[in-house]
Amino acid sequence: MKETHIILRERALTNSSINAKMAEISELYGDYIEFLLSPNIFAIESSFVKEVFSLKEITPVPGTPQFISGLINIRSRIYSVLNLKPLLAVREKGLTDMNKVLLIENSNSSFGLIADKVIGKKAFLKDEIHEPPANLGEFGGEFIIGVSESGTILLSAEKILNCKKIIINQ
Amino acid sequence: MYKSLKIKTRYQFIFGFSFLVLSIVIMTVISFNSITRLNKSHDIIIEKDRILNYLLKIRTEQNTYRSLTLEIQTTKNAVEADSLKERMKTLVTDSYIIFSNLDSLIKGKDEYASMASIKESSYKFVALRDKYETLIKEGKTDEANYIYNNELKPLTKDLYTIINSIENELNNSIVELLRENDKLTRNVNITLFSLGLTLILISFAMAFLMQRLLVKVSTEIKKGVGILGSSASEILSTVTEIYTGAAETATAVSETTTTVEEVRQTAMVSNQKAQSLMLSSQKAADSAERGKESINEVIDAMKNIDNQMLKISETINKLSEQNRTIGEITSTVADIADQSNLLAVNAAIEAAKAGEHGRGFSVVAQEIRSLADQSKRATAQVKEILNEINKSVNMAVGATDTGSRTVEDGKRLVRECEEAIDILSDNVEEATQASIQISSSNQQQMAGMEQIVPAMENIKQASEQNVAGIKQTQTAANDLKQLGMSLQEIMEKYKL
Repeated sequence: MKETHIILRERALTNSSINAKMAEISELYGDYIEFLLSPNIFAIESSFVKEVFSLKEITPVPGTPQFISGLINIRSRIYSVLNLKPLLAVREKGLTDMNKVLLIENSNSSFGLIADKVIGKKAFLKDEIHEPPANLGEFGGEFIIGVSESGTILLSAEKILNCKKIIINQ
Repeated sequence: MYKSLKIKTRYQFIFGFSFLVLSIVIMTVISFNSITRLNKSHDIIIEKDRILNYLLKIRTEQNTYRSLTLEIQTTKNAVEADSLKERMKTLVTDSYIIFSNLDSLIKGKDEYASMASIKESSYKFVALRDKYETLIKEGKTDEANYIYNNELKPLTKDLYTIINSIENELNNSIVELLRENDKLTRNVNITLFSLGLTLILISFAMAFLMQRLLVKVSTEIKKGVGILGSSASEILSTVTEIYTGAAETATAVSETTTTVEEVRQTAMVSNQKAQSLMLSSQKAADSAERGKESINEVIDAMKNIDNQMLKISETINKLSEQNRTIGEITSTVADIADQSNLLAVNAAIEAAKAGEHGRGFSVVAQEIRSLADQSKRATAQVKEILNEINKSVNMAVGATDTGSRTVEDGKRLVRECEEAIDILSDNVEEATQASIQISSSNQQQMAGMEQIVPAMENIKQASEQNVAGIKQTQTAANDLKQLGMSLQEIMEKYKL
């Protein structure tokens, strides 16, 4: 019990120091939700993420492009689920109920993004973000806005949500 | 061939020598016979000659007597007449002697029958002569003359003629005899000469034959001597080799004697070993019996182990099931952790939306998230541990299976062991018997060895004697060689 108490105490101290650190550094780049699209870690602005949940039941829709995995029902609302892997030319492994869905939305549209794993919320500083190289692919490369020093690829939720290729029938 | 030659030669010799002997005998017989005959005729001639001589004497006497008578008649001198008478008297005496001698010669022989008349005439003459003398003595000269002229004179003449004829006859016979003798001598000579010639020829032939035979024989002998010499040399060398061999044998016998002694020692040692082997075999038999008992105990123990193994197997199966249950529970926990994490993320998002008011909530969300992380790590650890346990359980299952199989094998092995121990027991029994037999054999062997030792001693002595004998033989062979060489020299000397 005592040990648990000590551990909790240490953790509280660490968390408070992180917050203190964040308060100290004025030049915050932005809050992001990190997720895994094996083998890469991607991140997307947390302000566009409405909710995350486990992928329970997905209904595949015939006649849709490859990157549309299907439709899901969240609290009596139907969302289309987008698989970024084909778009980002990441190797596809197949879906399980271990996969997670990030529900993103803006004023224009809303849909789910498939992730292998949701890592958590993370704040990036301006210093650690670098511009992506210019020679990225035409398709998919347009969503990438930067790469952090830890290797996380930052995606633009705005661009994904406003992409005309993705928004087909809405 | 050789035999036939020998026989032939012998017969030749016998024949030749017998011929020679026969010839000599014949010659001797002939010579003896001839000499006898010659002697006989010579005797006859001598006899006849003596008779002739006597007859001549008689005649001479008669003539002397007549002349004396005439002288007496004519002489006047009485002294002279007396001497004459004396002479007459001796003459008469002589004539008596002559007559008697003649008589003795003639007596009993037919061939002188004709001489009987001479005798008669002679006696008559003597008688007349006596008468005449008497008449002269008495002085009756006329009467005496008368007798003399008429009777004595013719008688004398007759006698003379008879004697003459006999003399002639005798002379003739003597001549005849001499001629015969000559003839006989000539014949004998011829015979003897021819016989001698034949003898000489035969002798020559025999000499030739003998010489040839001798040459042949000497050649053979020479050859034989050569062979003898080489054979003697070979014998000498062989004997030398034998000598060496015998010497080697002697040494070998000595070595063998030593070896036999060693073997005897070894036999003694092996006898002791056999005795101890017997004891060991008995001990081994006891051990085998104990081993049998132990095996039975082992079988029981194996059965116990088998039961224990079954129990272990069941326990492990149970453990495996419980492990699986734990795994399921862990999965549930992991799921819950995952959900908690999502919840934390959502809370964080909500907190961010709330802005400054949601800051405390954000801390709670962080807390939840780290709890979720912790549970996740814990479940991961549990999972790992479970995996390890699973592996161990699997290994345990495998080990149990292996153990069961091993126990089975063990059972089988124990059974085999039992059989082996049975066989071992039998074998030990046999070994005991064999060791007893070995022991008795060893004793016999030792006894045999005891006999062998003096036998080897005898052999040793015999071989030493052999060596000595061979040495003598060597000397003899050397002598033989020398003999051969000297024989060869002799043969060279008397080269035929």
